[in-house]
Amino acid sequence: MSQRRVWGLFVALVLTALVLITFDFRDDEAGPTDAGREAAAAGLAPFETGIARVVSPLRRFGDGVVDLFATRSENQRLRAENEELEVRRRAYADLEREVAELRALLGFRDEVELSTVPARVIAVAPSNFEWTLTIDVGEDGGIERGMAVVAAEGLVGRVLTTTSSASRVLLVVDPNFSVAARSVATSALGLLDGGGSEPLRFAPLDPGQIVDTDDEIVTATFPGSAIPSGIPVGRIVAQDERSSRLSAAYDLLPFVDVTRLDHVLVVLAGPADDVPEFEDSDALDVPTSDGDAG
Amino acid sequence: MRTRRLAALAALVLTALLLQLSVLPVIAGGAFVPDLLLVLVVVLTLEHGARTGLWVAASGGLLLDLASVTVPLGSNMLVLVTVAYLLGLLRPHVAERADLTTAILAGVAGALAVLGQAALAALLSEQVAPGASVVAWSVLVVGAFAVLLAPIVLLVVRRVLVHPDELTAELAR
Repeated sequence: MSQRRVWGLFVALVLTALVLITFDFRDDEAGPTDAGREAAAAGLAPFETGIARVVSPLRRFGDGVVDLFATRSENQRLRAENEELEVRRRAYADLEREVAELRALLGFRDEVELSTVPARVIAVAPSNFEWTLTIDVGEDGGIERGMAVVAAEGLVGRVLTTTSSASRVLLVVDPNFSVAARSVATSALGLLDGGGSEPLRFAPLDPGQIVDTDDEIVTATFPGSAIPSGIPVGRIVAQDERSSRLSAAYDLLPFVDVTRLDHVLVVLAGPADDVPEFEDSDALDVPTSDGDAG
Repeated sequence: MRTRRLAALAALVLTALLLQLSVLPVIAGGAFVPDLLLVLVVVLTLEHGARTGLWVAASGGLLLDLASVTVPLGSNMLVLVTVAYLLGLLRPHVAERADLTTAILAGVAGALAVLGQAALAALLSEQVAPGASVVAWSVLVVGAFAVLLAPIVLLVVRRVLVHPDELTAELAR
């Protein structure tokens, strides 16, 4: 008797779950399930912030112990790197001045300085096949869906949902993540996709474009995307095995270690404006072959 | 008595959820998420019966789904409810308070749950399915963590909830 009641309860719960899955799967944007998610995020955020406050010193201590062993060799490497960078920086200052002068000469629109909001990571994805973060700043801090999230090393991800005091961020490594990107060395434009646990994938729009190993990939602007141009993403490590002459693709290692993030910055920039539609002009100045000007 | 029990169960589920979201990934190094809610479901099913286990699995799974963004609502619920039902079937064959067996069953359930999540992700995700190597690693890590977490959860559950046998004895008196 009791066994049968347990079976009945099990069947009822499984059916509920299946109905929810179907419902959520079919409903694209802003349905009742999203409202439920928002409520859950808003309810959990204060607790998560509290726990993060306690946990992050512990995490830093743990990282510190791990790093202790690598300190000496890292110190040497960093000193060498620092010297090299110092030389490059001097050249860079000169270049920067030159670029500014040339831009002024050509009447280029000034690049707007990016304004950012700092945020603390308060929770990570609840399961092993999803790559997301929760941060402690939301709509009250000016965060909107689609904004880019960055760390000192480069792109972290994009804001997926917001509540008044918390936001969920889709990480750059999630298979659902996708952004327009270009190679710094050749400025080849392409599409960048997250790969989950696999490396990221950069597919140049023109498969004939040669992208070398070690090339740095940065984001590119795209109408409707709020991710600004020029944020470093990662470095090409190899050509993808699946690429052919018609569709080239390259494996990419991100600069940001998404498993060790404590603080991030959200870039407060709206989506890039759509390019206004071109208008046909009646008064086209088409040169005619009549030669009436002569 | 009933309301106190319900409140204790709710507190257990919420605590497990919060720990799973913010503390455990840090302990596990950030790349994997140990499934504390699943261990709680295993322990409660074995100690307090399939009905308790099923309800905790359903509510905890639903909360986990609400806390995720890319996984369809209901998938963690489906996995946890199935685990609770299977363990409920096993329960009559497991000795009372066999803690080692509970820990091992938690490990097996953890591995099964990861496989279930991976299968659902492969079926329902519109993008790339998780690769075989990452699934294998998750199975190992989550299973091992489940074995380690089980004794702690057992201790906490015995502290917080009165065992059903003791409850009936108390009521009979």
